[in-house]
Amino acid sequence: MSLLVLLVPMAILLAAIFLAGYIWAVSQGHFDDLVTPAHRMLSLENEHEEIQVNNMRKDEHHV
Amino acid sequence: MGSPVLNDSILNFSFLDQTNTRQRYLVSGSDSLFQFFVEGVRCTKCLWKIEGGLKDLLGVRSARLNMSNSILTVDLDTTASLEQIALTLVALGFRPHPIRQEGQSPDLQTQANRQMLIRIGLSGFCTGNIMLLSFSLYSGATDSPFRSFFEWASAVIFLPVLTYAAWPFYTSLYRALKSKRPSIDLPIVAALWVGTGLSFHHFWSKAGDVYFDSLSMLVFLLLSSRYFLTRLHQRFLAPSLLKPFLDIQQAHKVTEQEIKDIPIDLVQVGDIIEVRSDEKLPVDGILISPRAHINAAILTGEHRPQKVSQNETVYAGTLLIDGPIRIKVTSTGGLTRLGRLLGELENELLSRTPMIQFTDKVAQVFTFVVLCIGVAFFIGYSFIDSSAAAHRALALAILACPCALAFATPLTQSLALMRAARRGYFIKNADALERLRKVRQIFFDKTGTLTEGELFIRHWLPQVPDENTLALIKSLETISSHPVAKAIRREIAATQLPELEKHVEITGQGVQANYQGDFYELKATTLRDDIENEITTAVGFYKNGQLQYSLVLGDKLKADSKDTISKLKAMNYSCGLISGDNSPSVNAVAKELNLNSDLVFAEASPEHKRDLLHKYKDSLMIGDGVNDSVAMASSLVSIAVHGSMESSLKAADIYLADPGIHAIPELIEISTETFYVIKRNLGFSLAYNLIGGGLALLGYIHPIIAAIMMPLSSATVVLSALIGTTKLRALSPVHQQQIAKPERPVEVTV
Repeated sequence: MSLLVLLVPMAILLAAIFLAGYIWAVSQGHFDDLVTPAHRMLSLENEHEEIQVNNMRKDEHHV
Repeated sequence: MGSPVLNDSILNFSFLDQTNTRQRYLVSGSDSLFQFFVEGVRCTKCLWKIEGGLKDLLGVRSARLNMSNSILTVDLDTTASLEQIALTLVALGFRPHPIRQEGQSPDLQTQANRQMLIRIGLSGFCTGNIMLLSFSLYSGATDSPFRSFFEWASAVIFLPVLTYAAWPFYTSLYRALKSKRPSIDLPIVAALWVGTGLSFHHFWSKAGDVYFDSLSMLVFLLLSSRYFLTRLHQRFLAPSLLKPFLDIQQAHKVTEQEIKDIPIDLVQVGDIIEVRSDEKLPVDGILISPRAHINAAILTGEHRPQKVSQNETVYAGTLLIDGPIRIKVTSTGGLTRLGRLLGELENELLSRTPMIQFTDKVAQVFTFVVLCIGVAFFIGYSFIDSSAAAHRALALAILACPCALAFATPLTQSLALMRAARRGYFIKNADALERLRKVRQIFFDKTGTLTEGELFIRHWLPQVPDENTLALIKSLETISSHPVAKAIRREIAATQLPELEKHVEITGQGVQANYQGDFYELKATTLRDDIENEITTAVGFYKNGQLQYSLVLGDKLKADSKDTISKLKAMNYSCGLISGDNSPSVNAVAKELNLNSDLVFAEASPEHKRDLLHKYKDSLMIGDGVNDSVAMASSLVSIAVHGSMESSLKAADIYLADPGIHAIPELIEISTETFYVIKRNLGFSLAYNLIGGGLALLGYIHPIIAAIMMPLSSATVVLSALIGTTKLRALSPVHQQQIAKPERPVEVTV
């Protein structure tokens, strides 16, 4: 049981490393926009290609 | 799927790539990031189109769109062209606005948000770890030699929460104390420190519980709900009303050597600017060219082109019909006439209304009372059982919350105003919204409000006047924007108009002037009864007080008038009419629309209108903001349904950008539904505090439960404000019609 005196601070230290990681992520701006990534995830590769092709076709029509 | 219809002037983004200009659009703190505000982003597909469509352009390292504020951030290298990005966005069916970093303000907000997030993260971290240690204490470690260790460890982990994470509460409380106002932070900070003190006391005397877990959770949850509220505020209250109106990106600056396109915010007072046909004026200025024709509807309500001569002032936001012209700049941006008007409107929108002042006071009294009860109870009960007394008083202090008062009411009102503004209903302040609920009678003006206001000349009595008199009449009406004046100017063909002296318009009554020694007036007249029962208006032409000719003008009812009136009557409002026009015309309209006959008043002078509206105290006056200003100022609430925004909002409480009265039932609905939400929140808050407070004092609520319940109740109330009611949600925002705005690009379907 007296091992706890060593284990508890060690566990807290480990957790603190993760906290530091969180603080870093926040200051780098990763948490500024929580809405868009959810939408971005839903896009499929095919859709992207479709849009690209259509864009290129449109460009041909425009002078 | 046709090609988009575009106005040349908004397609011109070439100025963006000029070296100096490009620098100004860099995101502060970076050397390759640029931002655009993209109008038209509504769904996931828009996200794919934009990001997918941009990422393969030359020089674009990355393109990321933030859907919550419609801001696109692109990372470019030196080969990229900002202009091409903007044009691509236009081709995809959106409207891009390059964002120039205005000083530091967006940055500060982001920094503040991030700091808040760090505080929340830290307190969450500490709460979790303390709770793990508490768990062992609750499970019986209190009887073991390790009790001190666990309690001490909890205390140490709690310290960063008490100092760093809780700091916003201390600064806010300090500010409140300095201005001698009680604040909701007082019980929170009191609970925090009393709880901490008690816990340390129990720790050292090795008897009783420590409360670090509850206190830490309290801070974590409170910070989270405040952060949520702040983000809400930023999202709903930030979008400026100014943007769509001063929506011009560049101006054509004239220098000795050339005409250069520069961004609108680089225009200086004293610069010479060229404006081309169909362009909106970007600034206020003095006309240097000999003449110009301008559609100044946004400021005067008059859609017909106004002729402007050299050295006269022209205003930002108005539309040039026949360019190119040159002007010398006198004011820019927020200092232009339109800018100042919209600025005032924005300020008024967010000012404190009587209801908010009232709820603020109640909230302050509430926190004070709760504190007193807590202290009294603690002192009283500690004679019986001091540990339980501390527990219960602490639970009470943590649990009690006037959240519905402190933030839900202002939030609900602001949301209502924003929803209304997005639909083109400009409400001067939330006070007007509150007063709408008390309305019992609705009075309409006739010409232009219930009728089309596009008058046509039916006939003259006793006969059509001679050429010279016609010219004189037309000349008289050149200074008025009344529907009668517009009709006369339009239908009388005379071109050589005599110059008049002492030419004035008596608003709401008529015009008068002197000419060659005689005094002429054109004003409302009573019709003889042999005119058929049609929708008409009549004016008389007087020379030296003697009626010379009567002019009968015809009008039509507006298409939506009948429906709207029946809707309003179904909502239990009595509908009446107050007009300066003659009785037969007024009665004809009243009969056709089925108005309450005891509320129909014809031939009313402005003074009479004012007296009537004082007599009928709970009335809503709907009319022309310019010509009915006296009436508007006298009624409980007033709505201007046409005329210029600027003058209307001086007298009226609400201005509807889309002409017509069909919006009125909806406006009233917004008001009643909003009040219902506020009542709902207040009811919930009252119940919560009474029941929760009672249970806390009776000992049924552990401080840690209290720490969970309090922020939950705030969140509930805020959510309730956001969700509103089914009817409020059904009012989806419709981008309001702007006067003389260039055609929007048609969304290209993929």
